[in-house]
Amino acid sequence: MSDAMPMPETLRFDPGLLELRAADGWEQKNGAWWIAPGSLDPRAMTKFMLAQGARLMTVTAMEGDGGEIRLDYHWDVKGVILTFTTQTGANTAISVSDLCPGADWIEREIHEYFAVEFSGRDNTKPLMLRPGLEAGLNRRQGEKS
Amino acid sequence: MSYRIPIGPFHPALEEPYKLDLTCEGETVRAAELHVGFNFRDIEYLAERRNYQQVISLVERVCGICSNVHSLTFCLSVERLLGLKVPDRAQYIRVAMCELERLHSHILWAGIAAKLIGFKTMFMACFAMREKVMDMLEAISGNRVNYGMNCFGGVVRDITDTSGVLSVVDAIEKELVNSVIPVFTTNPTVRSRCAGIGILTREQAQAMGIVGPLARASGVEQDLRRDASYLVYDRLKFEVPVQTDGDVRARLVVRALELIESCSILRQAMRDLPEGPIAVSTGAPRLKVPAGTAVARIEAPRGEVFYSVTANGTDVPKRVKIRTPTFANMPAMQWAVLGAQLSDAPLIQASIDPCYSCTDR
Repeated sequence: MSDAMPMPETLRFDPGLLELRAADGWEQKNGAWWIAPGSLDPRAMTKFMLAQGARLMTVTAMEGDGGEIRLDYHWDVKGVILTFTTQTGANTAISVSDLCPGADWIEREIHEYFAVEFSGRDNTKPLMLRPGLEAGLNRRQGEKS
Repeated sequence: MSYRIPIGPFHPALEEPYKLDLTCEGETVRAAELHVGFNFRDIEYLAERRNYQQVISLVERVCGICSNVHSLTFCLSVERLLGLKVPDRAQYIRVAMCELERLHSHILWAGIAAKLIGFKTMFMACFAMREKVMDMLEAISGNRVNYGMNCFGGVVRDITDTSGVLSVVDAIEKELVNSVIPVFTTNPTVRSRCAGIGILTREQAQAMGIVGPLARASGVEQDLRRDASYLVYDRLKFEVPVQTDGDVRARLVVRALELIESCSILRQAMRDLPEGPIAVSTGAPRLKVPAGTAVARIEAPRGEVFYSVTANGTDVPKRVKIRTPTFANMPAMQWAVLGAQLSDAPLIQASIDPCYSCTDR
């Protein structure tokens, strides 16, 4: 994300948000509209986007320099990709899988790749890995070359 | 009294491994739990340890059927970061490859569906037809599975024999219209095996965020070629078939009608193929990509393929995220088999057209 991009502390989850104004923090580039608020409530975002008829495409997780994980929530709204970017805190994020069933596999996979704990889930069953294998497979920190 | 039937990971319906735990009462399926990951290769991890050119070849191995779609979506993402404008001729050739791949994939699926329905003559007819498409893909690209057609800035091989492509399209369409579509849409045996089973409602489809023909068979009108047009699809005329029943038959009908649309798109692409170069140069052999994140998506045969590529200014991607259509679609299977007869479960899961190579990556 661009350093010059506005970073609203809180997002207004009302239909005006989907007018995609730069003043609200939206930036259009490289195939999507992006917004990176100072803090993001994933559950409020999910309820709002589902109410607008949006589809959760996926969540891209990426390890940052400090070991926390950047999470890009990609939504499709009538053929346009809107991406909400946030970051884990203490490698934890809030689950939205009870609101959006399609998020179940997404969160399980991110847990396996980056050891992110999604709070609020009943369980995080293995998806790609066999039971007993340690989560955090794709983390770079501590990786041996 | 209920009992559990474990099916897989070596499955009676498909050659790919996955496991399905069905809970049944009598012959009726009451619950289903899906286990994947038997093909897990962690291609995303591997992609972050190879240079950009190597990643094109790597991601083409995500899937043995829609391999072209993966290398193309990766190239589209990187081209956005590089600010490359791909020549028109290359865009049309990419469209032709995508639609030939769709023909190949849908006809393969039709053959498997015919086999599961118990219509083995149609299975043989479909696979003979598919062979013609694969021969054409080989004639264009030199390869039958991993085509190696895409590079940053265009394609690596030209289509010089447009009449050859058109003759294959004519032959395929003739067989589709004369035999495959009538059988799948009007044959009483097919109807009795497919109508009213494996239903996914529009509401369920939307809740799960499913994509592609599976969504369109449940009344969800979405097709990226029309709704988020890429390449030169906005210059081509085609319909987006949609059915509302949400059952196995609706999936058959949607895919059958999409085959006809692909033939139409191929004809237009060959007719309108402009003169000019097939690629622009990207300069240095070990490409360094400016820092940033770009996304791209394509309507693959099974639905939306999505890539997010993050570059850090070096010749190796920092992150390559791949979301395949079956990853979005397959969890819906656990709803589609509820209340179904156990004997219908293989056909219902096949009707989703799952790809576990894609899912597991």
